[in-house]
Amino acid sequence: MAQYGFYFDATRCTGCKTCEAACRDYHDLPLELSYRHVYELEGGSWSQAADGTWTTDSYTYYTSFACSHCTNPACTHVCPTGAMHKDDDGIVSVDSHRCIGCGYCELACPYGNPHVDRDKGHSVKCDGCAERVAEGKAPACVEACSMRALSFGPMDSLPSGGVPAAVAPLPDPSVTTPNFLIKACASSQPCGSTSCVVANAAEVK
Amino acid sequence: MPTDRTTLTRRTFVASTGALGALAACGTAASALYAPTSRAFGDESGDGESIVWTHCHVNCGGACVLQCHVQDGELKYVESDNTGDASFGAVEARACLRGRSIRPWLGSADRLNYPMKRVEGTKRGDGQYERISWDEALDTIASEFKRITEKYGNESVFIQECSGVEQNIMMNNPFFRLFNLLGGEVTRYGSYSSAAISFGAVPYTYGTSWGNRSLKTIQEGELVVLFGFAPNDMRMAGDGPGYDLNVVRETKNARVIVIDPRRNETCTNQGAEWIPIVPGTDAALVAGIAHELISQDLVDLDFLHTYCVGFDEESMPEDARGKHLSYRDYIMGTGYDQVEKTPAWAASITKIPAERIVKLAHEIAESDPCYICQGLGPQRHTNGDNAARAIMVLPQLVGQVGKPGTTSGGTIGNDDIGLSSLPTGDNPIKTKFPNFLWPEAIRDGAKLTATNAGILNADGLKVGIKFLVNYGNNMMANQNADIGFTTDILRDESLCEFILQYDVAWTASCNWADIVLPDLAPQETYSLTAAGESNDVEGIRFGQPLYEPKFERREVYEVCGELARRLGVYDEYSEGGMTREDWCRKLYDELREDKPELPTYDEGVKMGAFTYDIEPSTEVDDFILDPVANPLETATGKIQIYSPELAELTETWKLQDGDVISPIPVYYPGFDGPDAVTDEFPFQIVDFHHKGTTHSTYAANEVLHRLSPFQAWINPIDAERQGIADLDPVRLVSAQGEIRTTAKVTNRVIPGVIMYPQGAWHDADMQGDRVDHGGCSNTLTSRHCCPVSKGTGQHSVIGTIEKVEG
Amino acid sequence: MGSGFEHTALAVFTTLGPMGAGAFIALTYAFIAGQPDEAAAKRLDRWTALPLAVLAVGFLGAFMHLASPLNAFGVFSGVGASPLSNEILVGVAFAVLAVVYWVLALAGKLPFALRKTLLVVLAALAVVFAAFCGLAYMMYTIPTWNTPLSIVQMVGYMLAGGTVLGFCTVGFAQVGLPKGASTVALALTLAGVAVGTVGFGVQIAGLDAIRNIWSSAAELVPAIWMLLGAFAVCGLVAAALTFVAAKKAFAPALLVVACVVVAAGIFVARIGFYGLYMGIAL
Repeated sequence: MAQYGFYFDATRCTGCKTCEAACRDYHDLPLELSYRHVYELEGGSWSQAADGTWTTDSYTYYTSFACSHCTNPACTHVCPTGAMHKDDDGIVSVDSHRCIGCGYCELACPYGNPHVDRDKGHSVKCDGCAERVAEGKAPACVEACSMRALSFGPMDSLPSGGVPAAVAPLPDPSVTTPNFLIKACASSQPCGSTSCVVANAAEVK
Repeated sequence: MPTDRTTLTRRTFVASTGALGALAACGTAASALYAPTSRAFGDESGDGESIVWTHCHVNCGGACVLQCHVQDGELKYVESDNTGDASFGAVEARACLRGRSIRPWLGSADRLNYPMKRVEGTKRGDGQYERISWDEALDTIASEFKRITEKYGNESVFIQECSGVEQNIMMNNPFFRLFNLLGGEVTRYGSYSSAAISFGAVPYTYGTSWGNRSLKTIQEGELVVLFGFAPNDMRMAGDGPGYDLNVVRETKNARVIVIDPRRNETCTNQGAEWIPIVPGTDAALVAGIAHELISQDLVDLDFLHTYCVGFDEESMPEDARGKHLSYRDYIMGTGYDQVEKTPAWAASITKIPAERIVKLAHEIAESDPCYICQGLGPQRHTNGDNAARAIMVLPQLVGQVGKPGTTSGGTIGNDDIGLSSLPTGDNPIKTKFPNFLWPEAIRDGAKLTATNAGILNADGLKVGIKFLVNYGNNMMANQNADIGFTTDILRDESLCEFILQYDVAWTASCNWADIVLPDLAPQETYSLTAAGESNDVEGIRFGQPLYEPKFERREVYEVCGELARRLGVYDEYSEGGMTREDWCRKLYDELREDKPELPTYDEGVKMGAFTYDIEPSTEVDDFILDPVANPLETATGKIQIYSPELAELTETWKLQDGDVISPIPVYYPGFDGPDAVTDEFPFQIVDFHHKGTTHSTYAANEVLHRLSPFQAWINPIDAERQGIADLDPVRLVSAQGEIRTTAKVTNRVIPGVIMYPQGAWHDADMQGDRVDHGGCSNTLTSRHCCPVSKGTGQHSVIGTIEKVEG
Repeated sequence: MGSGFEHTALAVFTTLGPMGAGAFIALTYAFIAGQPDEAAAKRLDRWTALPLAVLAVGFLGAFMHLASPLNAFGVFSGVGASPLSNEILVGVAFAVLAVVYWVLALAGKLPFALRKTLLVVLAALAVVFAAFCGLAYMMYTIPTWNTPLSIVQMVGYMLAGGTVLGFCTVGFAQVGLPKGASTVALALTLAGVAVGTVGFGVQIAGLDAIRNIWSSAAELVPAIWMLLGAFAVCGLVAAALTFVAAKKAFAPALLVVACVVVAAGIFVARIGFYGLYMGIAL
């Protein structure tokens, strides 16, 4: 079967977080939990000339990401029960009957995706809105994006222009081989960049 | 992953019609195009879940489609518009995070459920209320209306604007309709949004709204210059201007420059260039650019002499010649102040390097066409009338108005399908006052005159406001400038004798009412509305109630009908018993008389909504083609850089010291501008519309708080000086008050300025320390307003920011 | 990232589990070097309940940490692939063997040769178990933990905690030990403290080189050196107490104090370790 994945066009994103809002609403997520994250990174500095005027080389950019449904997922690797698995479409899913909620997937995932929901008694995560996709619909986040910055589908069907996600704050794609393509914007910084910081800590921390 | 859910009717409609004309050409096929679909409705899966179509309702300028999945009388989740063409550039009225988060809002613990009255023996602001019956509430309102109108006359009755319900055919019109049958009421002009540009700039420049084209008019490769305009922060819908800008940027290779004290979302990922500017100094920047254009001979003199009044001596009105009153005189140092407005002069005020100002002048001169527009931020300063006019001058200097690829230098244009709202009848009282001055209208009454307060259609007010209706707004203790000032007036029952608050939730404003009524949310009743008022599309949303009314909430048309019964005008009010739904049908049918190709009302209800795109006009404006045959509605018939009307006002109006009315749009700092900072108050504190809310509507939604928190944006240089780290709890303090919030330390704001989102719900002990722990920006704002329009100056605040220890 | 306290249950597990297991090293020494008579052996077998109880409390901690403990048997399906499964497998293998040993011993059906063999195997398994406890944290997406030092420090904690607990057990059982036992106890404890301190210390010293989008790993737990110091001091105090107690025929009162002190020290170090959790990117 085809490997499914996400595509994110950073040049269109406005950081509005509608993707996250739609995901939260559709999956009825509690406030402290999200399957999709929008990180705002910024860098650069300001300088003042002798006449008091300001110039800046600062920049800001957003990256919206959910589960990268990796080819080599860190979460399935550490899962002791096999509950965390790749399904037929390559979607990384939780078998809730097998999951013991040990939290290792949550610790291991470099995309911050699985979380142990203690009330439900197992890990929960982005499953690419499998139910919607089965009905021929797009995932809630994709369909919500006003700017058409998100796509989802078989990897070979995604819009051209994207490359495996290699921008900060994400890990180098060689780590888990994410099925997540990004068309970077002019401000995007490479993975591991130490010149930028998270600017929206209140929203994602 | 596009889905084919047999919504082909809608999609075919959108895809096949660039404009109504094209649709009309489809002729008889129209009814087939609109064939109602059965799949979008009812219980498809047999699990009791059905889809109810309605729309978001937050006065952002949009009206996004909400496709609500409802089960057992509860909203389960929301989809938006997924019925059109999902490809980039096509239109779907996709809701942003606000509409997508409607569920926790509708189910909020803040919702009002029962009529309440202020406990006898307590004063307004004490916050003690008890539940009463609807009959008692309505009897009280009716009898107070009779008592007060008999004692003071109908000019003592006032209905506030209604931002919370502004986007459907009802709005607060039922109150106007009712009161107009009973002798009318004093009314307002202008709004908090756009008073200065609408009443202090456009009338004196273009006469009426003229020359505005939407962002869709932008041509291949042209330069776009946005002054304080942030559509990607405020109007994020899939059929809105943020989307339009995004599309033209990508598909037309438009180059975008944003002039703003804050790096807004057009200059984050999308890569527009950001030129940081000191807030309230736009007119100075324009002057500096004008200097470069003039001195380098880059102005379009033919255009200025043919279409404009007041650029230079030659184009001045006759009676104003020989006095060095032209804009050119002002710029080149031969005007009233004898100061040359060089780029270096502008740099010293705007804090934009002179070289960048020079470069900008050349970039603007070289782009043909060039799209220059402004948002509503620049005009919401105490010098906002002039700022708005000044920005309009810029495209005039280079002849970039009135043709494709341009706009007026004012706001962007949009289309409108032409749906009427509930008719309100005739108001026999013509007196109007500037909206911003309603607290003064309560306190000072007849002291407000045409020349000291801009009273229209009368020499002055006859009487103060004694009967105040707040429906669908949060004006009293949240959205109006200087909450301490305002609520002190409201507390005094000898001034305003009766206050009604009627809303969906218990806001701080409820604490200042005598009677509080619980409304249905727009999604809980019939809510016919046109596509967004700021969007360049046409469309209709046929909003149906998601579920039966809960608790004792009732909608406004019915409630005003109940008041009409008590006041003896029910038959006239209801035109023989029409319901809210009947009005939706009637007003839609009236629209359809002009546009017979539209679906019938019943078909529309089955569709839920439709939206179609509008092709931008390729025509040059009539006035440009023949300015003599098609004059503008200004005093001179031309575009007025110099306004004779304003010249007259300078003679006749009484202003407070420091205010300036100028026939040409000069730069002056206004009150509490950048030159007003002190050691005690070293910062400009400027509020802005952020992504989570519009105004205070939705602002208590905890999901939106998480996604888009209310935080004070501070530059790292200032943060270090103040000893503030990211996320630190801070206080913002102005002469008017103090709020508590947290800091967002970010390069996205120019040093010396604190940017803070407006709309947070006020939460302070007003009989105690008045410290606002809710973080409402209007705890900080002042009563200074614009001299001509009397429009709000809420962006002109000086204050300080400090870390809160412990 | 967090304070480390969100993993308290895991810290309890990785403190008490290896400590209970490590006690079997001292028991092995007591049986082989001490050659207790039948009555003393019986006392010691009864008191073997103490390290087993500590081990059980440790496992209870692990169990409490799970969101769905009832599915816990599923962990074995990941053996080989999942380091956590491997850890649990070794831990459970140790526990099962230890219980078998204990039941046989209590039933008097344990010939000395078999007892010796089982004890040696258990002592070896205790080391392996400790190593696998550390190995479970070596995830390539968690650079702060992904070092053999995670293993080294666990072996150290096991040895320090286990020795003190083991000699405490011996003391309660009033088993006479040969001259020099006090030195053995001291040496084993000090060795454990040293290995643990060096293992954790070198890991901490390497934090400066690691950072993600949020911070440098060195900033994660500002008091991290203090926590390491607390472990070292606790370990030294416990070692001293054990030595002094050994002079008084392993006076149990002193050894109980030593057990509590060393366990507290290990627990503090483990909380510090969990506080060092940092993803490779976020």
